[in-house]
Amino acid sequence: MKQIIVKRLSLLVFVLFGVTLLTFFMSHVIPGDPARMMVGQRADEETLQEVRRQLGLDQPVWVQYFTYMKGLFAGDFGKSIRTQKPVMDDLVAFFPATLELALSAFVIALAIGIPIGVLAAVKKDTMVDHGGRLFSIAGVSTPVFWSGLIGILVFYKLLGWLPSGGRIDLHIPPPTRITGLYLLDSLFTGNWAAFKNSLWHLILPAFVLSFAQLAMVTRQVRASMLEVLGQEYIRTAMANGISGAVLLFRYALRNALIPTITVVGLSFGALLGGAIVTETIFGWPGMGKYVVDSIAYLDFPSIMGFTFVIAVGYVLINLLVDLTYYVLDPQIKE
Amino acid sequence: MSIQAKAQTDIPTERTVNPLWYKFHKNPLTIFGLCILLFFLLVSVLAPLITSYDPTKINITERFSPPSAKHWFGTDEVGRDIFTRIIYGARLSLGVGVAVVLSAGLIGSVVGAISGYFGGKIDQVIMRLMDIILAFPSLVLAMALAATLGPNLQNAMIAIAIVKIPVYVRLARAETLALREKLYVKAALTFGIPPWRIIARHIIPNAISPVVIQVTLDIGDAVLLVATLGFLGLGAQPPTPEWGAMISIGWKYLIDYWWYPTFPGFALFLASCGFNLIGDGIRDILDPKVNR
Amino acid sequence: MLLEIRDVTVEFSSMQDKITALSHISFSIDRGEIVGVVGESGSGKSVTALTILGLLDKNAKVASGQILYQGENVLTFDKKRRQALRGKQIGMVFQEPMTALHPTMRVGNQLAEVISRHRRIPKKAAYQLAVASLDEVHIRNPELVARKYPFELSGGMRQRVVIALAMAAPPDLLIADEPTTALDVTIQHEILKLMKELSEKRGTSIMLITHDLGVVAQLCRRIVVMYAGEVVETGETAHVLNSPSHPYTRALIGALPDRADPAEPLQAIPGEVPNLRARPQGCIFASRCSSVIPLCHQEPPVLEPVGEGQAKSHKAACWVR
Repeated sequence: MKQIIVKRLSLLVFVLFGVTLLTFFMSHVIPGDPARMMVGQRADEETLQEVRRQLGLDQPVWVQYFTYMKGLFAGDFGKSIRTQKPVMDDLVAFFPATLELALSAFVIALAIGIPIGVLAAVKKDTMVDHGGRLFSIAGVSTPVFWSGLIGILVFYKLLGWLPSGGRIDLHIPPPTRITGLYLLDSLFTGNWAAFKNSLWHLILPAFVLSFAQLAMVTRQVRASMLEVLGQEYIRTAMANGISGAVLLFRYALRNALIPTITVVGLSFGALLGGAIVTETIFGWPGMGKYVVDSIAYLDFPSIMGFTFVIAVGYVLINLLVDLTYYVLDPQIKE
Repeated sequence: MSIQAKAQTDIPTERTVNPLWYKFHKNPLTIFGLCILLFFLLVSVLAPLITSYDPTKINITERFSPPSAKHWFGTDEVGRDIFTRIIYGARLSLGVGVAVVLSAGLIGSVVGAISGYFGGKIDQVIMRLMDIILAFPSLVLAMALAATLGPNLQNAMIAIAIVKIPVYVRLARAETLALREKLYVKAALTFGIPPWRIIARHIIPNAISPVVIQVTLDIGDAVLLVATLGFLGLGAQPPTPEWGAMISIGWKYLIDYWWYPTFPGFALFLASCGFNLIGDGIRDILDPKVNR
Repeated sequence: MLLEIRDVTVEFSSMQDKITALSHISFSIDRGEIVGVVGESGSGKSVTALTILGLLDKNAKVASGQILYQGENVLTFDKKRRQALRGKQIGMVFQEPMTALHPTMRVGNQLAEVISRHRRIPKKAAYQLAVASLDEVHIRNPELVARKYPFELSGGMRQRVVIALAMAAPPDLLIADEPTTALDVTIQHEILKLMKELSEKRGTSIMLITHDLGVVAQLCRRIVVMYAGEVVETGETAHVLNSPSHPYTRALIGALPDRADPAEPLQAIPGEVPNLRARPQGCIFASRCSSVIPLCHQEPPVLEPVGEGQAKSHKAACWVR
């Protein structure tokens, strides 16, 4: 177990090194002249050289990389061209909103996807199964921005049940910041008005974001349930009188979930990508909306800061997934 | 002390013959997917025959007309016919998706075959590079790359191709490793045939089938990625009738002119569904594990 | 009579055709008796076992007959009663011990699960019984083994665990489908000894499915010989093996390696098991039989007594006497 963690962590260090290299190249080497981009087309040569010196662009590339790395270690992603604030501060401010949205979507995907997958496997080749399959293909085929728009049309414009965007109504003061997640913070502080209102705002974007992952979970659970249900130990258990829920959950699902975990980890990438679009559509004040707004300004420090943070988060999630895998499957040693 | 009777015929408890048509027949969804794609193919080829409008012609007096007999899907903020733009956009969106995946598949397979064939340092460097690309969620990396290269359709395609390459590298490498040990490859080596020839003649043709499956599964995703970058303003730029770019302008008018982003989005959904249904069907047929 | 199978026919329907896996088979098992069911693979032995337990695949159908368990026809039972039979009244041991256990559940917990289910006792008490049952199947260090996962045990150990599972209720009948085929020869012997011992101690009947006539000779009082989904010969083991009446049984005995003259080559049975999709009009074995007569191709023989007096239970389905 320890060996696995050490091995994984060393791989992690390497991958992170690679990630910094890639983001560095993308922000310092490829995009023509960042200094020119900062000062604009009309600035004179003197100002340009001055800015270039300030940014360290007159230094050799490896020195620039070293400076970049030094900054990263100190939590310095540079200053956002758009907000004129340190990118790190911006990301810290926007992170909890993204976390709240992504976690909710994740919980929805598992809570709905696993039962549907089990049901589809048990009722293989029936209408339930075909319906589930159509549903999961629709899930991976639906562009997040489109399902978001349809959601707004139906639940906001047509039915008027849910708000069209935002995290909380303007007239309701957000809860005191403890974790930065409105739902948790309002629970901790007993602020029911804020809890109800932020939950109301969360429902639509969370469901929209969860759709693709939900589809992947459903499909994977169905496939691995079918495989497990065909295994001999299930027949033995049945012959020994195990049946019903115990057979389905303790015997079959438990083992079917092991391969599912890998897929869930991978689908987290889709979830994080989807968050960018979902936040944009719903005006959800998270990192995704922040980066899309930055794109319009070609604000490289923020784009790269965001990319870096997401990559680190994604790598860490996959590490977590791997460890869960080892815990759940006793057959894997080493 | 056991009976070794020569005859050993198990009672077939499962179906014994599995003709392709039967599987397709049993799988109406795959047929459905095929129909969707044929429909799009037909529409995009015959676009000028189906509609008399010009996809980029501005007609400001008819801006934001709701869907009607004259404009089936309504018009946009400068009075262009949305239906026309969607069918011309089909050429672009689908063509780009297919092109991206095919080039990613080609480049990835070649790189993977080289990596697997030569092994050693080359292999190490290539595979670590792929690890780094895979460390990013695909949309996030594609977005960063497209932003870096500059927002236009060509750069968006390059960005998506880069993101898609590692899967093919891994696939082709694994196949190559297995093939390299095969006798005929070893025999070719002893005849003094140069490595690039062995890769081109023996490795790639034989490693191709898993790559083909992956390509069909990937196209739907690539079409979505192209549109998503378009939506984020990083792909095709207006007034190009690309679906994602149309939605990127149109969604701001959603509440008042619902048809504007809805129809391009539906076209995108339908096309992506078509590709995914087919990809799924092909996997079901070729992978016995999925359909036991 | 504990179990009586009367005229059972089982059909499998696949996409284009129908296969008759069992054709009008009948035999019975008494209390405390060990009965050997013998035949080549594909003869319908395992299908018989699965039919008794009601575990056939969805595409299978029992087309005729009755399965009487303690006088009641289990084929008419509803799902719930059928379920109550499994494990509690009839236990089953499968061929492959490597895959017969829940891979990620500790052995003791698997046993406790089954025990608490059948005896309706809390899990904790069941776990104690589980450890005790491991001891009963002669596993040393039962406390330790109970905490292990199946993949940590050897094949022989696993098969003991599987037997302990099947005997957990304890059932009146144990169906063992080739329980030793996948094991080493030395371990085979121990497992068979264990089953015999458990049967004698508890009065459990055993239906032992095997292709190994040696095992039958050693363990079983009676024998049922099956061929292509039909019972071709049955009777007391001693009678059947000493004076086989059906050419197929004779061929099986002839194929035993340690029989008769070592100088004589092993006799393989010529031909193949017939196509079960199209059963022949006459005797199912006719195409491979060495003593075939014209009648064999015209009409199927019926299972009839071949002996007199004591050997009256000895029956065979063959026209040639």
